[in-house]
Amino acid sequence: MKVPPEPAPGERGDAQLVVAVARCRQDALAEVYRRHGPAVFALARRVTGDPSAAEDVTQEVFLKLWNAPDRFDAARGSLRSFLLAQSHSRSVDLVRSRAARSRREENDARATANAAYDLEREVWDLAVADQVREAMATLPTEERSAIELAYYEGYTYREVAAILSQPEGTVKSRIRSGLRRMRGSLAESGVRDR
Amino acid sequence: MTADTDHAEIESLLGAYALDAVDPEEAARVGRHLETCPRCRAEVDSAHEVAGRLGTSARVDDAEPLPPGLWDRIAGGLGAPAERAPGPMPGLGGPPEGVGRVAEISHARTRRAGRWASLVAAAAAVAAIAVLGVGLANTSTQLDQARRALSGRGDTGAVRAAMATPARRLVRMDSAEGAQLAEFVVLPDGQGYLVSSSMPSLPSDETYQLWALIGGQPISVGLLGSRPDQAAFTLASTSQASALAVTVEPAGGVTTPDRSPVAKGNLA
Repeated sequence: MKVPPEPAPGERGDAQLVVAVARCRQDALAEVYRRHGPAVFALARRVTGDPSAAEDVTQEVFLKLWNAPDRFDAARGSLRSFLLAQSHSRSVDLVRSRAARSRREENDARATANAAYDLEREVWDLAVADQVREAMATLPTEERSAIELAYYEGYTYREVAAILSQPEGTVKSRIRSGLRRMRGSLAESGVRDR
Repeated sequence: MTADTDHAEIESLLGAYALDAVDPEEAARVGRHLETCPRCRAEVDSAHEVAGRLGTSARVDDAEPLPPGLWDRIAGGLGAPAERAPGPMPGLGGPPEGVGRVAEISHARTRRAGRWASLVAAAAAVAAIAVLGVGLANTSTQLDQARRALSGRGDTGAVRAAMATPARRLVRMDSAEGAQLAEFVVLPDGQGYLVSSSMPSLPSDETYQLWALIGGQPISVGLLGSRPDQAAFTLASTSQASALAVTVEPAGGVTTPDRSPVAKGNLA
């Protein structure tokens, strides 16, 4: 968990693209969209469960890059991760405001999640990249479930704790240690972005 | 609470914070802390990289293409931030960065290859290169916006300048019957403009869409709208695109052409 590694070749191209976006090159934004739009959209759809909400999120993410390209700092990480983090954050906002509107009952969530939460179904039906799958597989089940519920389903760690009937502090530290562990195994297997 | 325990408390939240899995108050607290703590900042950045991989794994790739028309919605909302002047795109335009992506696109489109292959039968197989398509939403509703966004690039001055460039290439777009329907000018750097068009107006729920033929595969370059009068686009490397083609598609465009081109022209 130190500084990000040297960028892969594709990431260097991404940094150039962002420079071009900053110069109002619409075709550069189009290329960013071509490269990362599918992942941005797929993640938003996965989290919101709603294709039209996912379109809104995707549009927001790319408009934001257009209007404030300097918010991307290549020294801090890849463009893809930057865009996906924004897609995730916006999607989670939507899910939570929707949940607030419909007064999603915590008990309902817990009951549904316990009954329906199926690791196999939730995760392996996705086209999971091999190395990511392997890295996930190295995690203890508790860490993996906590991360999946938080990331893919958009639950807060408190909600995850309720769903899994575990203490909040435990879930919090499992998410953190799981991410660190994955970082380690991804680095080992030499996985680069894209 | 001492500074140390406070720091420990914040640290324990970093993983959940990176996954957007904290309450708003906690998010605000961590956010403030990150402004002054490079170590925690680095951990969050690093966790975002891991999360990015998780996000990529949620992708369902070719089976789930991007919704048609989404790019045009985005492009239609761009405008041109006044404080930023248009400038050249540094070092872009083909291998090595673009190669893999376009190869993927091409692969996804092999289904359609048959119908389009005849268009480029004469063109030797060429290496796939990136086409930087410009979603140039010249539909009537977005015309003003598009013109603003394209200030200096799609206007008649730019077209005149392009026509005066020595190494420019003119691409005459003919119908299947051989009638000229439009003309494009393409500069050595790949920048291209619509010079003239006699393509008939379409109903408002349809648009003309411009494609580049690369290695026999149509790659979308952008939308021309229902009544094309001006358009600017960029091909990353014109030497690799063998032809341009125009189809009539539903408003918003499509990711892969279903219909035969109404006009085509060789670039070579």
